[in-house]
Amino acid sequence: MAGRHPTSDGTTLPDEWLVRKSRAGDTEAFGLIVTRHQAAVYRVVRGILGDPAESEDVAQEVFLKAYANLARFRGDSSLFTWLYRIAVNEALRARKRRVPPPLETLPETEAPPPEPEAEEGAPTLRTLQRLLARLPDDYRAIVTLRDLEGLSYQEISATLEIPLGTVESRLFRARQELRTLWRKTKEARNAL
Amino acid sequence: MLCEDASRALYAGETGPDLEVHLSACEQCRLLAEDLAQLQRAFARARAEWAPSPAFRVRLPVIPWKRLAIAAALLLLPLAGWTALSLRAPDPSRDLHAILLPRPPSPPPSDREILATLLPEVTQP
Repeated sequence: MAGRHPTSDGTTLPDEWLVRKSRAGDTEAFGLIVTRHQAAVYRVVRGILGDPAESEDVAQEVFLKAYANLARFRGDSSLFTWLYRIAVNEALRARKRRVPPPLETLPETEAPPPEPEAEEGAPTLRTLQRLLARLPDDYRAIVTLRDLEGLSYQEISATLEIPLGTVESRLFRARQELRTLWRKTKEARNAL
Repeated sequence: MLCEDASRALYAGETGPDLEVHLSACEQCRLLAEDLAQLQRAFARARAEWAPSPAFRVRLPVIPWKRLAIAAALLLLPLAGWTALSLRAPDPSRDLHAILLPRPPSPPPSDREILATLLPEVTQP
């Protein structure tokens, strides 16, 4: 895991040590935890929420919640798994809190505005965001963790606290759904 | 390989010679593989580009014992000031004791004193 999540703060201090120091009230140690994991936490939240500004707010909430609950972190799982879990839960909660109906709940017939695609026909980031937004919550969370963050099935299982078999089946269905949405989007554009 | 197996392998992100052979012969599965590859490219771009702004900061709340220390200091400082003031030597003009206790009665003035007050020119030598 350390290979995929290199320490972006330039230190080699292990997470466990930083957690111990943070628990003892060392805010600088917690600052290093934030620096190390903020990009990943933000991406997970962004994958689920879509909106950049709202994602930053929620990412902040994730770290505040982690800080407030450091005493409860038992170390059974790795710190990043624990942070990802908080990130997924907070992002889904923020999504439910949204007052106006989100864009993605608009009828399927409403075609998105034409937008140039990225190289080799891949969807643009805006399109990807829109496709993700149309997935059900549990599908969006698992696709974000796997395809955006590159977590292994075991890590996803630990993060979402679901059995490995459920990870496989849910990811399969989520990708199926995402592909269907992408195909429809492409066909709608071709028809224009 | 059947289309069902090919699609299961593609959704699971698997590769292999059997799959390649199937894809070269099946238009439908090739389309699926192409769509999934395009989505994966978009995810790779998102991974590189979705990052918090440089202004992103996490402001930690003051930890409880620090909050307690600040509250205690705010309470103790005025208390210490009041204590220091009350320990100073008492000002006689503000001596509550002296004001409240009745003064001993002074002796009544003599006749000469009364006359001196009323008729100062007569009493002058």
